[in-house]
Amino acid sequence: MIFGLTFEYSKEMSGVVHTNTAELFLVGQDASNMTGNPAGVCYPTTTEEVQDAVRWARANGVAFIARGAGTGLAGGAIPTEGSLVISLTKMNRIRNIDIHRRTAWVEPGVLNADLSRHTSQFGLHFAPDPSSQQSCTIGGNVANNSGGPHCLSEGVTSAHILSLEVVLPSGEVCVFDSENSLFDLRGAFIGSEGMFGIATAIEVRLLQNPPHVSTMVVGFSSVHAGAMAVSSIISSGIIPSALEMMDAPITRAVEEYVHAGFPLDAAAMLIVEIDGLEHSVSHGSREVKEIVMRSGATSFTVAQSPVERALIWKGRKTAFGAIARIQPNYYLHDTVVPRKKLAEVLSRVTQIADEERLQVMNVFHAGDGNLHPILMFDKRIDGVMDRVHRAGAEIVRVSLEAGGVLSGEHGIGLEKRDFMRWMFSENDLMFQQKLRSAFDPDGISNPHKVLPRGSGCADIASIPPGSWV
Amino acid sequence: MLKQTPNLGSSVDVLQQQMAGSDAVCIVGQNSSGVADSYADGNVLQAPAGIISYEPDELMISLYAGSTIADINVALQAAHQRILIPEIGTIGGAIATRRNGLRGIQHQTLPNNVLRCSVIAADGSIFQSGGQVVKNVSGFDLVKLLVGSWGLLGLIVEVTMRTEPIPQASQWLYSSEPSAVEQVNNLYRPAVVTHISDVTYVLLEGNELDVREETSRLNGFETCDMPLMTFPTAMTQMAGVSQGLPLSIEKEIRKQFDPSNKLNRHIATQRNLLT
Ligand SMILES: Cc1cc2nc3c(=O)[nH]c(=O)nc-3n(C[C@H](O)[C@H](O)[C@H](O)COP(=O)(O)OP(=O)(O)OC[C@H]3O[C@@H](n4cnc5c(N)ncnc54)[C@H](O)[C@@H]3O)c2cc1C
Repeated sequence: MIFGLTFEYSKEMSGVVHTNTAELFLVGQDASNMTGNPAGVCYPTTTEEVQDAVRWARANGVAFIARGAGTGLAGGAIPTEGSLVISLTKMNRIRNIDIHRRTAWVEPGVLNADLSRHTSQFGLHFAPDPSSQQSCTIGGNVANNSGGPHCLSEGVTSAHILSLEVVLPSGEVCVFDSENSLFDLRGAFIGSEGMFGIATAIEVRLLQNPPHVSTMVVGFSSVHAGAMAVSSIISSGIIPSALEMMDAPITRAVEEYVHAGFPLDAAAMLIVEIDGLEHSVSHGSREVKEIVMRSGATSFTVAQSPVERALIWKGRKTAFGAIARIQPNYYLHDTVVPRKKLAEVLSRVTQIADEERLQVMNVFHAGDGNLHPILMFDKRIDGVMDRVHRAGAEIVRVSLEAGGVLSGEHGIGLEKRDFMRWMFSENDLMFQQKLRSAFDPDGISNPHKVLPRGSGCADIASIPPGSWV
Repeated sequence: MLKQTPNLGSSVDVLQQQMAGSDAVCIVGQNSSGVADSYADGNVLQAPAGIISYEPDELMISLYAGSTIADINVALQAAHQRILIPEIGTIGGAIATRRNGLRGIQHQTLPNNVLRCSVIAADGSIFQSGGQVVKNVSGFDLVKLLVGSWGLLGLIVEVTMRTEPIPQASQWLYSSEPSAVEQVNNLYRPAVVTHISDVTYVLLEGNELDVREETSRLNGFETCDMPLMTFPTAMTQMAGVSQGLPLSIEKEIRKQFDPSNKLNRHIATQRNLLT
């Protein structure tokens, strides 16, 4: 295959593939700090058009990359130099909803929040609810196996996907479901970060909206006390539908512009939500209250109406927007540690940030042990990116040392690719590469992500300039 | 009949050597699926048994894959927890055959509850996937691939499973009224709904008062014990029939993982997965 930066789009693709600088600039980035340099972008509206684009890329020896909304934080959607971006944003129809089976077939470009908004008329929702749900796509959720606050009790995206229609890197289309293969190809595809092909239709499981919900906001005088309360809740046998933590700096930043009534005097706060049938909710909330009080809670409030509840969640989910008021740039990390290690690792994170003279805030899925330290900085300051990356690497190392893993929901992409060896042996990586090769023997679907170089990786093209890993 | 006695109690490194030194390998748990009965040649390998660590507070247990579900349940019940897998055979066998419990059949709980696997590959090397945490997207998901892989990709030796608290109350009910299906469909997330002949069975679980109230909302239902059900154990009950492109991908995966066609040849033959 010839890989060229100066290829000409053939007649059938001219007009379909856009190459103007502004569009290429946009699709050259995602929500990470990296940029790529694609050669073109197209916006298919049907599965056949996706096939055409993939076949064209193949025939021309060009790598391709699926793109949803570009909200990914690990650089998964950063195109390698000279590749074709296949944007799925125009495949945004909900194809059908089966109210009886509580399932729906959707196209990959449907926005996460739009799906639940649409199905609410039937009393149903799609459980994975990333904080980015107003803008991220179901296709992106599938590719990253995304999570969200309510994945604590319901499980992450993989638990809610029944079947997938996929355009393979060969250009052929097939369906992965529980019937047509022995191996769980559906399960293997979910979380493959666009490297096994492009999902063009997705059958999702929809859940009944809970009849009762109790949303509690609990303040603590230290992060340590809050973290200990998380362990106590989980070990008591209660699995809340969501259990989130915010530390004082982020709580203050959010409260200033959302006015959700968060406790401003607390060093850390928890949002604990319990949903379900009446008695399990009232009993569970009572127990949570007892546990947090025993754990030294300094304040305890319960949302009194759906409006109050919505405001609490708005505060939690727009936390990242609030950061812009403090520093122009931020770097959001994502690791997971055993829940009993939360307090210890959080205090290490503070130390690490101090050592690198960076401000840090924490807003995260505490019930899963899924940390999201946010390092804040002004990238115009000389040398600051080095400090940010050093601190990031150290946070990853400390999390692994505590028995944790590299990523809980954002994925590996380019960001953590070269940390994979910190968690996996060469042999582990080789078997991951084998799986990739079975789907994409030529390495043309979103090459150079996830697997570090040298792990048997045969991907074409080069890595994007500017990526720091 | 087993041609050779399984290497009961072999340690992981001995198993690795045996795997590397064999031309053909039949992987068994307790042979509750009967896979080894029709097996003709080669070495019969079995994962060791035993709990490696159990942390009730983390809702997580790590085990050698040859541990029986019955033994695991004894440990879990002491901490008032459970895994939703029927009490047949070993945990490795349940994972390899994707043997869900009643609730799992409906909600596919098993794949989501296996958090980590350590596997002896066909070449005798060890590979791992997943982690000892409840949420993880680090790298490609080999765990999902291994659940239901029928020993065609390697010998699962260690696993970490998510456990869950046993609910306060649990009640089976049944009815053959024509309205039963709709009534059950209107319940809020019952644990299990199943239809056997014309009878609708439902399992309600959770808070005691909720279970009582939900029970009283159902018209024409009687309480009962768990209905007698046969769980899919035999090879004949394996998932669907592979064909077309999914079959080609399966073949390719198999070729990548077991290039010399060493593992569970009898199953590979039956599934058209010999390469
Ligand atoms: C403020 C903020 C908050 C966030 N909060 C969360 C959170 O709570 N939980 C969480 O899990 N994530 C979170 N994220 C990360 C991100 O939103 C998710 O990973 C999301 O699922 C990405 O969707 P997207 O449509 O933006 O995908 P993109 O960023 O466009 O792509 C992500 C990856 O998916 C691939 N891809 C996209 N579409 C397809 C397809 N149809 N077929 C195959 N591959 C495809 C791409 O190639 C890329 O590798 C957050 C991000 C931001 C900016």
